[in-house]
Amino acid sequence: MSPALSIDVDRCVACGRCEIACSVEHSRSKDLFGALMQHDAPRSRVTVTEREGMPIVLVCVHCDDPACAAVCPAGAIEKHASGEVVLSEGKCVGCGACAVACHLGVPVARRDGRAYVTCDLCPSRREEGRVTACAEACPTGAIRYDEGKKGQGVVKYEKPGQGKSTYVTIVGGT
Amino acid sequence: MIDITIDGIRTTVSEGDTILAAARAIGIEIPTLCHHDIVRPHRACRVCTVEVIRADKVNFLTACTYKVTEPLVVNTRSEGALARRREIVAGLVASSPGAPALAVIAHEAGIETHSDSTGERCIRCGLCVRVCDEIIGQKALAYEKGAAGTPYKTVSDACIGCATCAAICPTGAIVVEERGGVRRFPQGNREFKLTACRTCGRPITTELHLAAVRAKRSLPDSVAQVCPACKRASFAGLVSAGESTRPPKL
Repeated sequence: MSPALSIDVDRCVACGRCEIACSVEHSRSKDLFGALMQHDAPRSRVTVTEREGMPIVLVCVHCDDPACAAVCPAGAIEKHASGEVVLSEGKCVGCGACAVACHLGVPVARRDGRAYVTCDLCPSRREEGRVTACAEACPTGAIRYDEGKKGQGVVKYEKPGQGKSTYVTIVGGT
Repeated sequence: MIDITIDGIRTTVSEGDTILAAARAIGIEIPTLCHHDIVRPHRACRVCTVEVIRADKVNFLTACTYKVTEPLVVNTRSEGALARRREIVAGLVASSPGAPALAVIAHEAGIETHSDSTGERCIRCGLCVRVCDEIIGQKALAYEKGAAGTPYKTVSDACIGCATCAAICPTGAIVVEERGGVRRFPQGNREFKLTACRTCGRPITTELHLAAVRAKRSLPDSVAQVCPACKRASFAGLVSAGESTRPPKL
């Protein structure tokens, strides 16, 4: 099964629940209070920003031919057969080559500076048959988790249109 | 296969597996500082000290280096283990206060950290040397003979100023300064020209490090000469304009 995220930009209201959910999911305790108490607070892999007044969610697009994986000196980034590009924090040495090579500037340094992080499409949640943390938390359906849609790439951004019927799928990655 | 118990949980390990690996395999976190999966364990910080009971003998050993050869019982959070660990961490904090990775462990052990120390922070864990050697590949750092001297003061011309040694150092011993388009490592007495982001002017990394990254993968200037923050801003621009988020063709 190929995991996929579908981001409908028109539906994003910049509430930030995806950022909180992502951070909590990547904390050691996996609950909000534990994550808040964690001294090295986990970083969200998804970013809410805005452009010309329009709220936008930014996330790794899991490229077909990831530049980050090619430049990583530690071999910490792998493209899985099911499509996800995964950065193993345990192997990362924090050199930042991935952030230099990424055309979207996605990888960010962990707060202790010893590793970089990026979206891993929540593997432990998917193993349990659940959707990604961001998709579960999003109250408007701006981030939706799909599965099994072959040939569409891992992350697709849907172009803001003039009405619900004019969405064009833009596929992320190579 | 050997049966061991960690914090009351029974598990089976292969001979030669470390206690740290066995604990992680069953979801038990033992704090570490000088350990990194990518290089051999060094037993330099001893933060991973745990209580090990073998045939009624109790010892306090480092989980990262102790390899299991017989059935045993491990307690990672017994009174004795916690007391030992607190002592070790307090000692490290006294010599390296304010180091980010150490502050995390200290905080969780209930130890206060404060940030004024001019003493030597290096715990000779060898992470900088090994990472520069085996991962970055520049082999620019080396230990000086004898107890005196720390690796990052003996920096060869192979150094490209990537500062990965500083990033990986668990006690924040390596100082990096960036000023006036130059990155300096005062302790190793090295200086490197920085490449500035052509959008915002802030430094990305050293010219040499950037060249090493670009040698591994052809990158257009619009990717390699723009800092991650500005690239994220243009990511937002692409999405709002409904344009493709694919990498630009060379």
